[in-house]
Amino acid sequence: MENTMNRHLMTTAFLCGLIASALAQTNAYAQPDLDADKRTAVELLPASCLAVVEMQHPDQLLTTLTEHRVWTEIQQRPEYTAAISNPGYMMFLGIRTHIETQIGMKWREAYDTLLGGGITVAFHPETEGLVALVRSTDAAKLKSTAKTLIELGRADARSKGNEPLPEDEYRDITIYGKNDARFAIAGPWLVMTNKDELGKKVLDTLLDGSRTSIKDNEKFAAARKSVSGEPAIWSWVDLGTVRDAGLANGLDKNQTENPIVELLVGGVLTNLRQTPYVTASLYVSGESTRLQFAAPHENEWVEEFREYWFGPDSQGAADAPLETESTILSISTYRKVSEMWLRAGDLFDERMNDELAKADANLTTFFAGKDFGEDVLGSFGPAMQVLVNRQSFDDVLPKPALKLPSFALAGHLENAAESQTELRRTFQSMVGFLNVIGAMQGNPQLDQDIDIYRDNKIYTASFIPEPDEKDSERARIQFNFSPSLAFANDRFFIASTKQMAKELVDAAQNEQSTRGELSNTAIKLNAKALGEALADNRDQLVAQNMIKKGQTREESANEIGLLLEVLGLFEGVSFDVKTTGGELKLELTIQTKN
Amino acid sequence: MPQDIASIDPDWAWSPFSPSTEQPWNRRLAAHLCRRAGFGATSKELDELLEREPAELARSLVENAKAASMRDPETDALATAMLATGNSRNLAAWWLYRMLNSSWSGDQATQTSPLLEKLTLFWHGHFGTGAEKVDDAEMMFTQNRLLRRHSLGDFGAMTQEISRDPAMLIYLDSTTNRKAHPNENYAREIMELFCLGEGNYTERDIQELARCFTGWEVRRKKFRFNRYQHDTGTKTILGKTGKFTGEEGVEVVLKQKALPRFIARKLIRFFVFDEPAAPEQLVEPLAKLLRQSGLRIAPVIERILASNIFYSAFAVGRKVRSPVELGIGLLRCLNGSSNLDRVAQHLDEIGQAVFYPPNVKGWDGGRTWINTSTLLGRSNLVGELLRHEATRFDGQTLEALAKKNAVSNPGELIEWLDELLLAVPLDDSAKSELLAFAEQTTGDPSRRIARLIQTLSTVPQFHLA
Repeated sequence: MENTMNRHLMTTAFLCGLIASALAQTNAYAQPDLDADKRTAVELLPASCLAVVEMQHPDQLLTTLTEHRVWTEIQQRPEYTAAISNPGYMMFLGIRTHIETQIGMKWREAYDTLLGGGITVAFHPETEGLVALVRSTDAAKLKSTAKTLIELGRADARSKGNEPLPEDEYRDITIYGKNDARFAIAGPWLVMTNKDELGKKVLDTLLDGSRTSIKDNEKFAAARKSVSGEPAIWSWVDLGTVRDAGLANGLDKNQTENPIVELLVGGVLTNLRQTPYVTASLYVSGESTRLQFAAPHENEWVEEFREYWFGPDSQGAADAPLETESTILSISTYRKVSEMWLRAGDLFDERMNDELAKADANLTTFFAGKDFGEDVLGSFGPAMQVLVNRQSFDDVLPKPALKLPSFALAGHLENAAESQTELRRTFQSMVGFLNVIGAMQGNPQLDQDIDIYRDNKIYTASFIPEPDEKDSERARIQFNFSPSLAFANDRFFIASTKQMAKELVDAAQNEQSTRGELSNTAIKLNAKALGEALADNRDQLVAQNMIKKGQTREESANEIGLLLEVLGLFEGVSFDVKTTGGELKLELTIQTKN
Repeated sequence: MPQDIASIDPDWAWSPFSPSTEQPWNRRLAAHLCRRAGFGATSKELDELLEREPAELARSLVENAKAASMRDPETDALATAMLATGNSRNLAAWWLYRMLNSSWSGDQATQTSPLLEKLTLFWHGHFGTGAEKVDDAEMMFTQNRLLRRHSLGDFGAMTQEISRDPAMLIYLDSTTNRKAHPNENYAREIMELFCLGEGNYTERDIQELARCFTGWEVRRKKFRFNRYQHDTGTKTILGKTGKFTGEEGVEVVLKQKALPRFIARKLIRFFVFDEPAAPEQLVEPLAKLLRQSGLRIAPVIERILASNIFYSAFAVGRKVRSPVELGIGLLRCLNGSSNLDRVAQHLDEIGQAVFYPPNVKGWDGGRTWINTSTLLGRSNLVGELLRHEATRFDGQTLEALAKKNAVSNPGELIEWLDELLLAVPLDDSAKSELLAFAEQTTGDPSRRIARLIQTLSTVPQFHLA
């Protein structure tokens, strides 16, 4: 009997143990406390995502934008006051106030709370789905706000006779929406997607944890490591996988049909054909907004026919721009143009090659039999600049009615002594040719001269006004130009005006070093100089506005005045291309005035 | 009133129109005056003009136009800006801007009057000169100023000046004229097209007049008299003999009896009716007036615009709207504004590019404005004007404009548009169809009004002036 009792006790104990064990395991599969979830979005996204866009601090971004000087100035404009007084905007404000009352938060508090933890959007190729993860800073408020908004939405749908928002359940989480637009609230997370399967993957990871996520993706990790500073928005695209999947057919083409496109971005295309990934970062501050594209770059990737673009070992560097106070635009770049011309067969398609062959034949004739690609273009060094300056007409007569900026091409000559003579002869022939054509068309003639400026020769050509035109302040458009050719050491300048040629000689002789930052290409637009150049032609701008929009003079003058004022809020725009530190970087920066 | 123009009493025809109960002075007649003497008028402008009697109004319009002709558009800042590019195409938009922004009330601030611009357009067609050959915006502008300055003045002075205008001489390949081989181009055109008409001169007259013009040259875009190349011999032109210079040769032509009739006939065709050709007895009183006034245009215009025949069934709705009248007229009547570069292009597409007449005869006008392709183009022009993003009506939308004119339903809308835009009123059946159409259309009110106007533009009356 004692033995039977012992057996019963042992069986009971065993059974209890089993039950306890089973219960313990059940607890292990109970819903985790999602409200306390501390993971980041990248820990929830599948490892095979092809593209990710992150905004880590939406609240900070909004603060920067709303406190930005440009926005403050716009708000003080009467046009802004008129725009926000219109009935449509008033209705919007009414709706917003109603929602704020319902959710118990002002819109800004709601924005900071509900989005403050960051927004991440990703594309998942296997499901062909997009998913957005929004993390709030307060899970409870997220839940209550969502509930209120859903109720409001449903009430509105009912009042209009529409179907209310449907819902479903997945692992005790309510899924709202249907077809291509579904969302769920899970802890501090708002998960939105257009593909059910993708949404469920994310929720599974959220609920169960996962061994791997996009955070563990090698390319993604490498990209994250190389981020500098704290971008407001950061994005990543797995370009290697995109190419392997045949989704970037345009990048396969080695040849373009447009020499300008090739000149500007040919090197970028070479990089995109090989680089494993590309990132884009947006930095926003009170002083500037900067958009940066970056991709790993290796010199081995550069085809021989593209070396003209990158230079040896991808270290080709542009000169520091020869800017003055009146410079509106400067483009400084490294391009061995003669090589590009000679490599046309590899770079361009058949049609463009035919065109270039014709041009080559004509230009060779024009340059007295010298091979255009090898001899003519070959005499120019790779560092080239194009500059556009505002012209001053203060002490100039006749003064043209339409005041155009002056422009110039600046570069280096490989064999200065020999090349200078050739270039001068070509310039003088060109002026003679223009005079013959001009005479046939009744246009003023160009008078050639030589100036010595700071020990440098400037070959000039100036239009000769008619006797009754000499003192005119509304002279013909030709009087914007006095084509000039200047040399300073190994440099040459072909300018549309004598004034600009002199400015460039000054700038070249005053510059500290010919090599500034190591940019392959540096483009800069100066808003102040641009504004001044536009203001020089205010009457023309107003007239064009009157004609194009049928407005009165007063209305047009106000509109042009506003344009110039807005322009006055900016310092300028710059665009740089660099190949440094194993990366190809393209950076666009917009600077505002303090 | 007689049915046949040939049996019309010229005294009655050119006597001032006096409104009566049978033919009251109303918005429709005021709109007719504004279409012919300008490019149309808004409802508000029509109401202001109605406050005056037709004869007094005609006098006032002529006086305003004369005053405006003294205001030299050289000081026009818009013209200066347009000329700065050196592109003649920009001038077309400038001129359309003047037409659109002209003032019936003689407001000096707006610089110009509709009658002045309409007459300048008439003379531009009369002394046809095309910018595509002249290829110089400044020269075309200078000629335009010349025509505007003289449009209501002395025809003789205008002809003398136009004879030495570089743009005209370039257009007629008359930039050189040597005594060994006189260039007959201008001599022919001045008699055939500008002053006398066919049948009023002989080939011999052309040759002799060409000798008068020897030594007339254009050098560096300016007129120049080269005395070494001038034939100083005796010439016999149109029965007159003498050692005529070029100016004296022009004077001989100006003194011909055929000239006043030729000009009067053209003015009747431009302002009164396209067809049939005005009978001699109707032309003669105006020709006499032109002669008696020393070839001054203003009295003739005033007579025409105040006359019985001008307000009669022989005139109302008896012209086909030119493209300029159609396009600018639509905008003018609805106080509209738009992208005038685009409007100029459209007008070119349907046959009237200002500054670019097809040849030295100018535009034939009348039925020639309408053919299978231009008819479609005209409807497209209306549609484009109504829909273009730059188009505003009274600075706002069509809906706002309609409300401002106390139009609150489709029936009132049709009545309003009928009176404002159509020379010949719609019949009841057409109105009913339009009303049914208007009531069926849905959507934004401005777009509904625009669709109605475009539908209206398919009605034949829409294309009559």
